[in-house]
Amino acid sequence: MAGVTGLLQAMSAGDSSAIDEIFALTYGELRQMAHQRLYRSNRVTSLDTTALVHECYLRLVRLGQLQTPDRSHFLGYAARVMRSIVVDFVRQRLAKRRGGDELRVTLGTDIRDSTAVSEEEIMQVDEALEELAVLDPRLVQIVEMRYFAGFTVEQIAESRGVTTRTIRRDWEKARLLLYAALQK
Amino acid sequence: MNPGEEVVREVVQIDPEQWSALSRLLDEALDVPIRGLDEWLDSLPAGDAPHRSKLRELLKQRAAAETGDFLITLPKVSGRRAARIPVVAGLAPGTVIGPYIVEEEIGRGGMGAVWRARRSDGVIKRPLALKLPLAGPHSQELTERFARERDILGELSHPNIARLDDAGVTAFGQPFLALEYVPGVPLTDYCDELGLDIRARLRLYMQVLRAVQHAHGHLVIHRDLKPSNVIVTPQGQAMLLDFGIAKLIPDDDRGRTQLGGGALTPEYASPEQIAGKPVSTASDIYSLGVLLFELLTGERPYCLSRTTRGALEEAILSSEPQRPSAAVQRVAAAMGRGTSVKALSRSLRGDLDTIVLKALKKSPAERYATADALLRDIEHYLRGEPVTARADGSWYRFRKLVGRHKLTVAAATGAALALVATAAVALVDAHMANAERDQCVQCRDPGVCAGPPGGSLQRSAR
Repeated sequence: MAGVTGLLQAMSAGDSSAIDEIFALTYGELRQMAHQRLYRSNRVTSLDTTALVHECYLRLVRLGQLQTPDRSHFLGYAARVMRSIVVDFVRQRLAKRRGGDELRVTLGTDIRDSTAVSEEEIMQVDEALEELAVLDPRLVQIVEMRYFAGFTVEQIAESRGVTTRTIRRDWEKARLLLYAALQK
Repeated sequence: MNPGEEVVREVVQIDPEQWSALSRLLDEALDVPIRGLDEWLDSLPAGDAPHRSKLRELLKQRAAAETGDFLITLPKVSGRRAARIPVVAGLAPGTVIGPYIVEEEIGRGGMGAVWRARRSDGVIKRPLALKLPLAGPHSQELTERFARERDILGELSHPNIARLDDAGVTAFGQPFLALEYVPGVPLTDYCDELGLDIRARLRLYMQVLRAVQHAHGHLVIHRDLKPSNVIVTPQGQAMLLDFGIAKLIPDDDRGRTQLGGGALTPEYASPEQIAGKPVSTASDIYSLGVLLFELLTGERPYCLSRTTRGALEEAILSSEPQRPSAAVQRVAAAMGRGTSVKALSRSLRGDLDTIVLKALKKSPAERYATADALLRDIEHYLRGEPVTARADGSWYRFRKLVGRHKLTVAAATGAALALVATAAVALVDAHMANAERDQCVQCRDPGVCAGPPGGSLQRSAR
């Protein structure tokens, strides 16, 4: 096993097969970890994606699978996983609800309390990101890190080795595009 | 993942070829105060003019996007009453779990899922059965427990026990158990499919007893003996799965020993397990008794008025089991054993009734002390020798003697008297069996009698 570190390095060096391998190595488990959080409790629990990513990172470091300098690469990758976990989850919930299942989802944000709006937004953002990926994959990753994984602009800038100004600029651009897309 | 242009125009509505110019212009525009935007747009050089309308469209949203907290808040996902969805659902073949790559799901139930898997490092080439139990919240504790038990269980080496290769918890808190992968079918299904008669069934069952004896000799209790944990390979070898594993999975609050607590049914659980009392090797003996009962009769030991879990637990705790000979009801079950209901009942009456009921005693101390003792009694039965289960002496032993040395005894004086006595005993037995059967009228409906094998109460993942 090449270890997550080696794969992350290969990935950042442009080895596209590395990302597949990393996915195979960690995706299933990261996903299960997220689901366990959600399903463990009968009460309402929140999936704090940011905490989940950090915890996962620390575990990998402790296990020697990941070296500290690779934190930045890992965060970018983990954000992508978080996006897919969250989207899968919402999709599953929507399907269940359409199926008349009594299972209820509360996908709330701190500000909006209408769950339907939030769910809809997540799905729309996800779809728009698919399209945005054709235009500018960089913007997609920033949205994943900011929106789905909850990293700050500063953290993203650090992980990508650019200035916060650049990230803030790209973030604003991405928001404009997505905002326009979601009005459609 | 690779939407064509048509799709791109659908929502984002930007031509990829124009993006780099548009992106550069947006960078500029974001430095322009909102008030000055119109002016900035009007003053675009001729080369950028074609982008003007698109820019205007995007930027007119700017104020709304920036002041409306758009995309600022994290999507907080909450679940309510979501505990029923199995955690391990949604695994795809090829997913890596710890040092394994899963290939095919081979079982699923309340306790989790079982996948056929392979080592990802190729150290072990043969396939393994990878059990993925639902994880409890205390993964650190679980990790230590798994490591401890793995070492103990790793020492079990017996041709009739599927080996535990590995047990652990992945970096992500998912516990796993890697067992020898045994292709085959559950013991009861195997016997039924081949239509094995009672003697053939007993001989297979003896393999199970030897395996259990071996484990008990290593102070390992199975705790969850049931047909789905006894697999018969195509070569006719009985293999016990999951030895000692029930203990590895966190018990629920009531201290039940079933995997994952409430998810499984207590069909094969001993009274002490139902009562949440300490479990010993005697518990396995009891479960072996239920298994034997079912192998012989195709039925379960208790006659239930209701097929609820509560009724079953109550019966296990306080009802006397039926005699196997009285439980035989179904023509299909008898035919599956190459005989008729009447003949099957007759062949079970006596020794086999006694053997099964001794294994099913409520009090652990009254059961067979060891799997070996049960094994010896079955051997005695197969050879037509007295079984130890019946302590009362002379009449019984005399009958056995008659059976084994019919000619000699018949030649002896007083033989006639002996035969009359034998017949009388047999008649009394038959009468008792009939009386029991009549008492338990509900059992004429096979659906009521704790369910025939394969019934809804029984099925569980292994």
